[in-house]
Amino acid sequence: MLSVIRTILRKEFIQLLRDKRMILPLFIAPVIQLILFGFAVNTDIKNITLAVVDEDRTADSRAYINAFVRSGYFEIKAEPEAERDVDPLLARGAVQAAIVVPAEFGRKIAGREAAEALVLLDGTDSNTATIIQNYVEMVSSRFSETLIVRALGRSPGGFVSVEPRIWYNPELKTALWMVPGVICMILLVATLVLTAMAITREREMGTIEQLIVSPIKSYELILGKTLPFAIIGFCDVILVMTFGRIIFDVPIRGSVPFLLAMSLVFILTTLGVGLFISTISRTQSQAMMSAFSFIMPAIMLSGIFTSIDNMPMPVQYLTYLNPLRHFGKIVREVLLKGNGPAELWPDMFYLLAFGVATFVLASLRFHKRLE
Amino acid sequence: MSEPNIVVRDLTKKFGSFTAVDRISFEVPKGEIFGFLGPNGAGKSTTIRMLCGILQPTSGEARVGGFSVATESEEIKKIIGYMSQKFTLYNDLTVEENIDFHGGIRRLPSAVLAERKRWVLKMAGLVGRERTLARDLSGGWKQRLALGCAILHRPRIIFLDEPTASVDPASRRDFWDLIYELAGEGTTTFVTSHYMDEVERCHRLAIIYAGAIIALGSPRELKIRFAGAESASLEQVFVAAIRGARTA
Amino acid sequence: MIRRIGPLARKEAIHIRRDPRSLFLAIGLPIFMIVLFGYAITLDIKHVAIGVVDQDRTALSREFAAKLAASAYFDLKLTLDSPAGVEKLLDEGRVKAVVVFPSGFARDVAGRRDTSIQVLLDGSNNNTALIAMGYISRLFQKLATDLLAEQAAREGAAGSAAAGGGAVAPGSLPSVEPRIRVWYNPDLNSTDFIIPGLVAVVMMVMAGILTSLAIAREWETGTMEQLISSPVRAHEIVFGKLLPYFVLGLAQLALVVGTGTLLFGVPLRGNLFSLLVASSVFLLCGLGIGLFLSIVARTQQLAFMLAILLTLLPAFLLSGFMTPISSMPRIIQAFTYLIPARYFIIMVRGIFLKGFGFGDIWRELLLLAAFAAIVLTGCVRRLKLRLD
Repeated sequence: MLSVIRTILRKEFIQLLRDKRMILPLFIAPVIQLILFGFAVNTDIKNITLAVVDEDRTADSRAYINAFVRSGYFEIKAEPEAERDVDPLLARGAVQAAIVVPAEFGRKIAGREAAEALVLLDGTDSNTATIIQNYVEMVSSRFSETLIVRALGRSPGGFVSVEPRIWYNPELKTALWMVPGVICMILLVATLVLTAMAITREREMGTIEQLIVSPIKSYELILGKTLPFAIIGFCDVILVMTFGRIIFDVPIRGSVPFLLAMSLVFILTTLGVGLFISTISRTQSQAMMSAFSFIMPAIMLSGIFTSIDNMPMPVQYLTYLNPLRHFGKIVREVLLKGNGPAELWPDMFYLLAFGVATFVLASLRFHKRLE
Repeated sequence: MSEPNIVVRDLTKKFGSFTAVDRISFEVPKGEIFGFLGPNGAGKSTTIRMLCGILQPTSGEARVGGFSVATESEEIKKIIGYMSQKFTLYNDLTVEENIDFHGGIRRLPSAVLAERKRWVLKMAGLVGRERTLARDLSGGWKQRLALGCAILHRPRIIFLDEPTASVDPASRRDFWDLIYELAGEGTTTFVTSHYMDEVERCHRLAIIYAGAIIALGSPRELKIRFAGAESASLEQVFVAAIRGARTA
Repeated sequence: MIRRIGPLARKEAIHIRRDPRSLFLAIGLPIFMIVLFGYAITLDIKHVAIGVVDQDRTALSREFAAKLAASAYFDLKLTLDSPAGVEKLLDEGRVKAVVVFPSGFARDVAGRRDTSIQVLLDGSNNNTALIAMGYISRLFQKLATDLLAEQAAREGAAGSAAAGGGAVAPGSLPSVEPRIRVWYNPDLNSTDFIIPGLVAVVMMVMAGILTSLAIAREWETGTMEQLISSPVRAHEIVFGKLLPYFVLGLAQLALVVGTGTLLFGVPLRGNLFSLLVASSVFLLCGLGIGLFLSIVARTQQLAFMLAILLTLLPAFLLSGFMTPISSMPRIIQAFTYLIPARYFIIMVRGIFLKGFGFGDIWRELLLLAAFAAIVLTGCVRRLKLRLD
């Protein structure tokens, strides 16, 4: 039996790598995706482009404007003369925000009153706008404090400061959230798509008939056809973890063997789904469309890129059915929190149940189709 | 004898270091059915592809209908019909849709297309099955439809690559009757096969082995030359020729 | 020369029609994405689970904690007396942040000694952590400033009482209040932000993926060999394949725009015609990329995987769809100039939310038109009608 499986394995690898260009999507693409997700998807908002209109031109107004620059978040891109000059800047997207300091700013401060400044935000990107809003209020608040200190002539003491202590990801790097997600995603896509297509291609080309009339047993065929992609998927996991470590300093705080073992369980699911898709597809095109129809929702509803906590409750319950959700949680918590079976056993249970059920059912269906 | 329609001289095709077709030469006059016999991998399909202008020769020259395969392939494509080894047809299109497509590709005016479509349907025995998907046709019908699509535009020269593979003997016979009919109308036919009994019906044939032509002539001539008697079977001819080529 | 495009396009259309899965994907996926992004996925961070460790247990600490609980941004899950067990809470993910009031907090504030509140954050999702931190900071900063004002008021009153009435109004302190106005999307509705971008993503992905199989499939099954034995030309094949997918893409556009505006109330402030033109040009870019991959890859498998890599990923990550380009590292920012989706997102968001017309989008339009022309020319050139 082993030699038969080995024979099929060898054939699969030969076929897969016959076109040397397959190296690109198989091994290079994961690293590219890692880099993209780690760098590009950056939610730290910096370099906020600002337009300032200073209608007051006093020391106070200048100090206020300066406070924004000194905060490190803002960059002054334009200093128009009047408020109406701001409109086209915002419209074109040349600046993300604009501050208009009115003429009575300095007077009000001197008179110990609440002075107002008009802040216009480009709300098109609501997420960024929310964050900018936070920053604006923070800068204004701090500036108000300095005004109070000045007005009272001395520090009143009794400042309450808020000290953040960030766990698991002290530098708040986006990469640490993304990389575990990338690992999951790559594993899913590679194992699922390749398996589904490999088997369907044989059906499309007609070569599967050869296999049917040969004395190969179903399980030998199944193993032979799924193992290569499990191996490739595995290599990809190690590849991404390693590069994640090197490029982004993604920690590996938990047990690596545990993580790899869980990857294997997850692969069971994806191979099962791939196998199933091959039984319902006549052409590679169908296989690909089916695979894609599974992959997109799986990724979007897995919590690996967008947080599940903010989804409506019914949708949250739905995600429990998604093996990627459980695997994503496991990968992330093993890497970042150093969690293990003690904390993750519910997800392990789900994953194992899904994996076994999917693979067995798919294999049975495959076996029946073959007869 | 009318002017040869296909002229091949020292035609060669190399794929890297592998020589698929090795300096073959022959001529096919107008109206002749010329057979290309040989084991798999001998170079039959490669030759046909070069003659159709879809594969560039490495060296040598060939002229089809007077046009050079190396430099005037566009002209050749206009005047030939080609039935490739496996799939002329689109499996997820119906009989009629396949015919319409090939007619459209050949830019047949609608009246002509309509008439030819009627002819093909009758010839292939598919009248009443226009809406059947090509996928659902069995071997014999498929091949006849494929032939029909290939000759929709009444080409002067047709190339058929293993046209009767996986078709039952009765259908094969009918198919060849059809070829004879076309030949009678002046169509030059170049056909490859590995069925001895079919190739017997060609006017002349060439045996190709390991990329080279090891025998060329009418079936009768070859039987005398290789097997000693007119009553010999082509099978014997084939075996003898190959043995001879191996020892050479 | 153009007349063969007709039968080629018709054949392709039949293929699409007879392949229910492609159709299902072409229609189903956009609907799924819209519903998903419209209802399920939101970038607004609310109801963050937090815990409070109140080692002070005074009225002041409880007041601070109550303000936290009352905020819509937070869900106060537990209040503890001591920091023991906090680690487990965070590890298990029961809370995403823990606010720790030190003992002696109220005393320090009353005695005008500097004191600090510790906030332990689960940094795994840095976006949530950042925003949560922002909320907490803002909340406490306001409370602290109010405290200061009260104190100063009391002092001022005491001082003026001592000095026999002062010239300055007691209890008033200078401050700066920013009056924030949000343009184009005053409710900071993330749906209005996401759905126009979704038009770009859906079209690019579908266009790229569906066409990536179109030509590779014919090579693999052998029908291309048959086709090239006829006088058909490369540009006829390219445009014949393009046409039905183009029509499909426009149908998807109508679907996404229709659902977005009717179901989710995304405002369409610009005019429909400019949207149509912009989308058509963008569609051509996507289709061109897909076809090019199909031609170059020759096998369906390679074409498909390359299509995912080169259309899906850039559209999602590098176009400004969910995360702003300005936050990306400079190198990657430079790279985004090569991505058609980047320009289209600017156009489509502008048309929807800013009321853009041709006068505003002509630069991007020209760029995309040039891109499409280059890619399609590449397709025609690269499509060899020979077998080797």
